[in-house]
Amino acid sequence: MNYRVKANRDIVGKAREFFTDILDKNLLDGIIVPLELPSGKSYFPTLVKDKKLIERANPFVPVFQVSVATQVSKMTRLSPFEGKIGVVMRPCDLRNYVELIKFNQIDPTNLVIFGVDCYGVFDPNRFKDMAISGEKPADKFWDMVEKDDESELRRACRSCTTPVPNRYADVVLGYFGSSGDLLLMAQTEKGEEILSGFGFEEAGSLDEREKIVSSIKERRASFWEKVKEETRKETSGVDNLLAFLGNCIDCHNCKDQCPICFCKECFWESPTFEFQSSDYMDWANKRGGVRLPTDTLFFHLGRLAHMSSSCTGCGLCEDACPREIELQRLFKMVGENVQKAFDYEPGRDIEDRPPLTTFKEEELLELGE
Amino acid sequence: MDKFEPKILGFFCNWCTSSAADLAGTSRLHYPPNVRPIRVWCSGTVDTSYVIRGFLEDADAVVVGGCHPADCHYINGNYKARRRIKLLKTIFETLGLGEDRIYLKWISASEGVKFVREMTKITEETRAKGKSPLAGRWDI
Amino acid sequence: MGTAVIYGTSVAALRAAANIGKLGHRVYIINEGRYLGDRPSQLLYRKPRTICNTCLRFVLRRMPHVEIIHNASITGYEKKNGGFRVKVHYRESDVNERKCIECDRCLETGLIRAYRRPMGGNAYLVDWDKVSDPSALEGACPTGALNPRPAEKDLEIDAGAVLLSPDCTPEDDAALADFGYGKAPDVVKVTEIERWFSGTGPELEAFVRPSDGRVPDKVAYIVTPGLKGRDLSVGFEPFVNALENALSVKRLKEDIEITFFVRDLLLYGKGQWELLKKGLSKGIKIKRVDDIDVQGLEISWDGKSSEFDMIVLSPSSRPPERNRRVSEIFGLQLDERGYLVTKEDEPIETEIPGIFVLGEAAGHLTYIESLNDGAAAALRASRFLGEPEVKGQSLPPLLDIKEVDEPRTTVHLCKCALGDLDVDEVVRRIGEIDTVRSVKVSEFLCLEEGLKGLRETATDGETSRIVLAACSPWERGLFLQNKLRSFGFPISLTDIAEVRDMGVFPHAGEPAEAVVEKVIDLVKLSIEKIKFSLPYDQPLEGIVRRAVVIGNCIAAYKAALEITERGIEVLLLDPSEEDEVLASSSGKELLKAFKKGIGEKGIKVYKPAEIISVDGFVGHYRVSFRADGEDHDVEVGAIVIAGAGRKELPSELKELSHPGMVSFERYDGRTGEKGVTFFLPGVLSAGSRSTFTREGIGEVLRRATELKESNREIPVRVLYLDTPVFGKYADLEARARKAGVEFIPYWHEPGPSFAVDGETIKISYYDDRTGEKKELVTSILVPYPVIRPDISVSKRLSELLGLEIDDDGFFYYREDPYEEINAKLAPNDLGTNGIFLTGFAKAQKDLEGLIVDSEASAFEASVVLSKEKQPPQSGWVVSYTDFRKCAGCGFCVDACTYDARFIDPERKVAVVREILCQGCGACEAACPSGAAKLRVMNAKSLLSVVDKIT
Repeated sequence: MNYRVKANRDIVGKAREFFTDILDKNLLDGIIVPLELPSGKSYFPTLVKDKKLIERANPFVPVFQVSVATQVSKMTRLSPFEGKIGVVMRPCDLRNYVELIKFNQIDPTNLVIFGVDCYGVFDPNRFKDMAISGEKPADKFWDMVEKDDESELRRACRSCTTPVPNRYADVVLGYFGSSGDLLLMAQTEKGEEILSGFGFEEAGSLDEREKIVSSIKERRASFWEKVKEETRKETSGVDNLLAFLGNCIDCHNCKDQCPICFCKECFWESPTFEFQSSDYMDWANKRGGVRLPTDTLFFHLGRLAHMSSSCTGCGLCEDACPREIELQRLFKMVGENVQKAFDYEPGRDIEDRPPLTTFKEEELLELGE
Repeated sequence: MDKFEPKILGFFCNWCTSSAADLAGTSRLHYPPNVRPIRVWCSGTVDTSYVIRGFLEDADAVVVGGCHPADCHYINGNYKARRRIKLLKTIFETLGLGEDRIYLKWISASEGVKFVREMTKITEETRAKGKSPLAGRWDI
Repeated sequence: MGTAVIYGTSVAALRAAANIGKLGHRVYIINEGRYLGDRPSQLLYRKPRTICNTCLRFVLRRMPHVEIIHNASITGYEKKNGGFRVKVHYRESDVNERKCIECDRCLETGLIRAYRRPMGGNAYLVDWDKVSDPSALEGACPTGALNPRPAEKDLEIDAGAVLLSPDCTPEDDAALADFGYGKAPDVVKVTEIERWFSGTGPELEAFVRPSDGRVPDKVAYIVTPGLKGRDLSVGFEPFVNALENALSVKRLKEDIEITFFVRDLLLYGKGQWELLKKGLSKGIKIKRVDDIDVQGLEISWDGKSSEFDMIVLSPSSRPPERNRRVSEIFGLQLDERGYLVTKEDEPIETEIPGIFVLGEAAGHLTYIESLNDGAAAALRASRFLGEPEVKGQSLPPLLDIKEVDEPRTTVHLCKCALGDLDVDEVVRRIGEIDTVRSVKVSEFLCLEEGLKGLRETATDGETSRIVLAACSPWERGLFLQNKLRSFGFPISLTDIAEVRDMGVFPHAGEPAEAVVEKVIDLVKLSIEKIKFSLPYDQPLEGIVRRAVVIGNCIAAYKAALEITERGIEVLLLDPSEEDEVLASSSGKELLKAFKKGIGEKGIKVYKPAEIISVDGFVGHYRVSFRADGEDHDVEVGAIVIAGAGRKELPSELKELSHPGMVSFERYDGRTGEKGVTFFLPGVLSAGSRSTFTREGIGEVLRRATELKESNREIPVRVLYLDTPVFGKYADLEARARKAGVEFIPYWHEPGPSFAVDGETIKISYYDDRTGEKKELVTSILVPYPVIRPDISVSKRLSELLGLEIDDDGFFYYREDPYEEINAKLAPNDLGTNGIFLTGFAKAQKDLEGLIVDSEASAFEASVVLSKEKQPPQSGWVVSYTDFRKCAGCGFCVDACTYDARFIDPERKVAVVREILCQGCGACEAACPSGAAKLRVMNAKSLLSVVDKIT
């Protein structure tokens, strides 16, 4: 069932009311939702119990510091929540969430997922600067949505063709084509249970929303095609690839922030990579010299081999890179090609098996003979 | 002027391809000495990082050898290997790193002749292509 | 009388030798040929690409108590002392196979020739024509394997059991001239094509015509049995072989037109109907013909003719030539075809207790059946052999290696491996490799002087890694590693650098520097590989010496009896209340006898038993079941599943209701004006042929013949899909035809349909011979029932055990039975789970095949249970989890084919069940973080190997 809450453009305000009511009515024991930090510089996902804190909440905030899916996996990997907990996630993160469930990293028991429409986010540093200088990025965002002007948002977002949550969201909080109202859409029984007690008005026709979402998808798809082709040219061949990655300091921030990289200890940080001085000299002898730290290209190629089949293109890797390497478009490009090769789409279906955990007897027959 | 001699790194499964290599040896068949054979238990044991490392360590081609589909000693290791090789080839192709230098070959224990033929072919093809673009880079 | 004598080197003979040897009895193999592999064997002759070395290598290399006498023949025998005295005449071998290390030094004399064994390695024989003075051979062999003056000798062997298994005789090439063989170059045999693709044949890159090297567009396959006066009953393996071969040709080139000319469809085993359908779906045409004529490349049949680019013949073999001699010496009977006669309903056994006939000596057998014969023969023969003489070696405990994580490597270099290379140069360069403390050189590492050096190194208290730069693991490498273990040195800290077989032999003629480079890299490889290894020994676990047999069929009872015979406790759980389904009446007596035997031995039978759960793993299963109103819990070490069967009407007749239709069991001989039609079941609704009815077909043929002979005027017909001629029933079919019984073949697409037509039954069917839809009208229709697995039982068992079943209810397994020769060599698929299949759970077989198969399965189950302690199947290479790193993602569990890993629900980490782990490394490759590791050859060692040698 789809509902509409008249908001007169105060969509965030209505959303806050909604969450406050939920906590009031004890429909949930807690909600994970982005909260504004006291410093005002940014928003971070917070597990909220006290409804008073909801005053600072903004589920639609146009900044994406950390993956909520990753946080949920930290919390539930060893044991699920005992009480019912709501989790607010944007669409790309929701797909990461589905992947992490497949990897046994998230126990979804007792979780109620609130997916949000996402027009995109600012680069987090930009957001911080805007916030400090008084530009109010969270408010400016709504003007951008109205005017359909995404030019100041991250490239990752301008390439994203999933601006609305998939079917794994129990409730969707939407605003595309809502004429300034808050749309609340139940996609599952769990979602309906939450929404039905409120007496909300039915949403009516959502054609406008569908139209807008379609047009956004189309535009972004063709934008991404262009970006992908440029990226391909820019990184094709060893020289180009090394130039692209040239500044890399092997800090592994990208891996740390990547929601798909769930390993407790990364292979590239394991004792396998503890070498002796004689090993370094061997390399120097072989090639005339060896760049330090070693194995940066190995790290990237290996990380691609491990996670590209599940890469959702969320861009957290690029946001985290201290040397501003545009990793998002490199990884999304490779990810797409790999996913196409195996007819796999991350986040599409919880029952889909990650490509390397399964196989078919009659496939890829051109290989091997 | 030193002629370029390609370095071929081979990961050969213990039961099939390595046995074929042994058979080639005991039958005194001939193939070029460019191949460095590493005996692994199963083609499905070959981690993607071994293949990548091979190229980063100056291999001009990497061959993974295993049993024919449906004949794997460990039942289905070769099917897993096949998917892994497809993954690697896709990555290498997207990044223009020379996906044609990654080979997957099904060679069973009695196919000493096939082993020799394939190793010779791969060596010749790689010799013609020249050094791998990743080989010898100090800046990786 | 603990010795067995085996005459012949057929597939069945070698398997029997390996099995009896494994039991610890002495064996003599009497080989008429000059070396193992000299005589044509069934496998070599009919399926050269499938050949596996294992039995042979095992017998040759690992069982000194299995003695092989070459150039030998049996000259006589007599019964003596409760056993037999077998008289053998032989000529000593030129070369002692056990001592020969294939170093090739003797070839330098120019007086020796090397013969490539089809299964790998060489046999060396003296070219006596060139030898004027035998002293030229003295000293030519460094190991003393060469005998310059082989003498003719006589030997008398006192044996408890004699197994006769001479090899089949290939069809005469000259005799195939009537199919054009030898007349046109493009008429070839299936085995020749197999050799084009096989490692031991000539090198051919593609499938081409011998005459002009062109790829053929139209190929004809002729399965010769049944045509031009040949015996149809030996055509089964040739037909299936030809089909498999044609399919692999199709894989090479999709659009080659292939046509089969066969007398009839000759399928004998599980999955072969699927094979045929696959062939048909790929466009292979099957033409059933009464006979054909071949002129050059033109084939004529039934008034038609067609020209082909190439003709491939698939002939069968003839009974072993030696059968006549054997029958004379041992007083055994030969049948009209020339096969040795075995006891009625007791396969392998003859009228003389203790003398067995196995393999193709007794009749046309497919190679799988031959292998089974070998296993069953071992079982039966062992009853005549008393206590085994040869006990296994007990290993000393592992030495405590000082500072074992500090790699201090000693390299033992074998000069034999280096061939012509400069030894000093190689030693110098090896000495430069990191962690190498010392390099020791021996002339022959595997001989006494070399072994002494190994013992010194193993016990010197300093060395913590040993690398053997020698031939290869299969050659002498494994033997050397085991020797090191017997000195107390852990095998996981040793490795074999395959200098000879991978580095020197295949690169003759290449510039020396390139070869030395490779040799050094091979040694570096081994050194790096074990640098980070841990000392690890075979963990042993106690097992429960009890087995459970689950089934409602004759195979279940037989298996239970056999296991008891081997001194292992067994219980039988029959999941059904009903009587066992038998394919024919001949099984009834046997079943009664088995049941009586079970009663006498006091084996507990629970019928019906409802199985509630099965938990655990090989050696330690817990089976819970309910019987007689009580719940039972029992611990067993192995499980034999025999399944249950069902008898039903062919699916084509399920809708038909007519007084003229009488099922075969109730047929009373009534007739009618329009005659009697016996209907043999064809394709089941699931699409697979049920050949349990093989037995029944004999009965149908007899009935039809009797009927016709006493009712000359009315038509008697047999309507069938695939041939009703099976081995011994060939004569019945001939008699039936002679009496005037009509044999009407039908095609499965569209299948026959049956309709009521007043007082008669109308049958519409498609005659593939003429390509016409036909009809016939019959007064009486007698269908033979379909015998198939009871799917509900199979399904239940499959759920309980986590095993897959196919559409017919058979469990998936690999057709070729392997043995657990040593822990790493060749595990039997399901056998490694301690679960064995037979009867209705395995595949359709005729009664004899069923009995032999259930014995083979019982044998394998008893081998697993015969030891008190059991090392994990993979010996010393087993995987483990670094719990610190494990995120519990389950990729390793998905990757493990053997279910040896599971995620602990409490700790959320992957745990390994060592006894199931095969050490294949699939888990390690699947684990992204390196939490799943093999104890030997893990990522760290492999990556550093790659670093060092690329």
